[in-house]
Amino acid sequence: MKSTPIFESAGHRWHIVHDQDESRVIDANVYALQYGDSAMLMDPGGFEVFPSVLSALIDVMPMASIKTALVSHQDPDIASSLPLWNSCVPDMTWYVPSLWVGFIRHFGALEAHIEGIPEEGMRLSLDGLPLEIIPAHFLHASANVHLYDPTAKIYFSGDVGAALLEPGHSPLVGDDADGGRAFDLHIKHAEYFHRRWMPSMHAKQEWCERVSKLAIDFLCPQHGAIYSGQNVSRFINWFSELPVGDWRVKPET
Amino acid sequence: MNPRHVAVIADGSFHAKNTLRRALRDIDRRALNAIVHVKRHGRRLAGYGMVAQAFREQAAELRALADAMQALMRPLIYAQMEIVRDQQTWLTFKRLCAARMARETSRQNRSQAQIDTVEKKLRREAHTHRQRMRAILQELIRAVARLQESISAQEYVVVNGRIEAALLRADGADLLMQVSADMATAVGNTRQAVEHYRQQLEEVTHEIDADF
Ligand SMILES: [Fe+2]
Ligand SMILES: [Fe+2]
Repeated sequence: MKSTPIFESAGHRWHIVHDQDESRVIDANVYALQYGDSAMLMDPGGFEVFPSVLSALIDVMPMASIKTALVSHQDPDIASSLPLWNSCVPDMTWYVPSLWVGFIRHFGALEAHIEGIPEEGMRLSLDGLPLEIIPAHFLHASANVHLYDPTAKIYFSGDVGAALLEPGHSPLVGDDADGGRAFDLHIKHAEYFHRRWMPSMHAKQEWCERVSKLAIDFLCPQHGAIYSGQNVSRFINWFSELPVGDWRVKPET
Repeated sequence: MNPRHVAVIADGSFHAKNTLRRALRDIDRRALNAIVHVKRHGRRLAGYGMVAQAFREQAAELRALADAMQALMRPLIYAQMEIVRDQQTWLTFKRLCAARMARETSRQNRSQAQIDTVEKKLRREAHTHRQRMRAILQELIRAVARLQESISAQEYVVVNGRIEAALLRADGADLLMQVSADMATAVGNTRQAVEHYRQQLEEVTHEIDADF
């Protein structure tokens, strides 16, 4: 896996750790937000890929700066590395949707410092940088959150926007000013994921309306590639039109 | 692997890498300045030209050795995290064993054989990972030692430079004195950072050997 910078402005940085070498588990991205002397991880990943994720992160930040992690929902690709992180950085704070706190503890590390996120989301400060945890329930998990950094205009969207891509893919969807060609090619790899993993038309519609009002330069999903510039609204429009919540849908070939 | 060792290696490597990057850039820049300065003053400072060239060549060697050293940092951290993962697996395994012991009595002998097989496998994997980490750690310490030798050679060039600059009486010699003094500081900082990193690595090696 490698760390690639997405955003950088005077001590405020976002990195994506992507392109996993372990192909037996689903390919997942980890995002790291650095501000001042602190860093926060978004969906720090699974047990199996932990050595790759941590060694890629240490290329770009000291481990001692990692103070916080956001867990968007309860899936193993999101946070089964929790006990491993906890044994390396025992004073880390974990933000987890309240509904999942007791479930997440099944991964181990009963002593880990876990803060429950209320159903309506919450505001957060990373060393003074304002952040918003935005509810995205039923997208796909019944309790699910995203994170918005209004300063960097970066929206971490968990499994929303996910695509199943080939190894060696680029961290970005592609040129956003090509009339949507790169987007159209990319979104084929996202369709089955959204139709099969997203259960609620209502939740999806609510999310599209809410998020389309935010200023977003980068929409960062936990699988696949980042939507930048015009590809952000292209994605929201596409998702808004997509029928979801039917298990009979077949994977694209 | 205790959290302190993890922090020492991960954060020690991160800081050593950054300090070195800055210091090497500084050394390179000063070497280039010396060359430009000598060229500008023509034959009067020609005696220093050899020194300035040696600065430059030595700086290139330092950079190559530092790259070789840094290339080992990531595999080392990876190997270390494999051990962290092994420890967690081992912990879970021991909990399962304890839970089984508390429940089972009659079928105990039958499942004991399976447990022994799993235990053997876990021990074998953990041993392989520890050996791997130890080998990378040793290789890294050797790479640090090579870098230290090169730093000593650079320090020797710097001393020569200071003597050479002191002997010059031409215009611009003051500036070369300054260049030499600055170079001595930059190389000294590099030496200190690398020494400190080596100490950290050796300390962890001793403690890990004791744990093994
Ligand atoms: Fe998920
Ligand atoms: Fe996921």
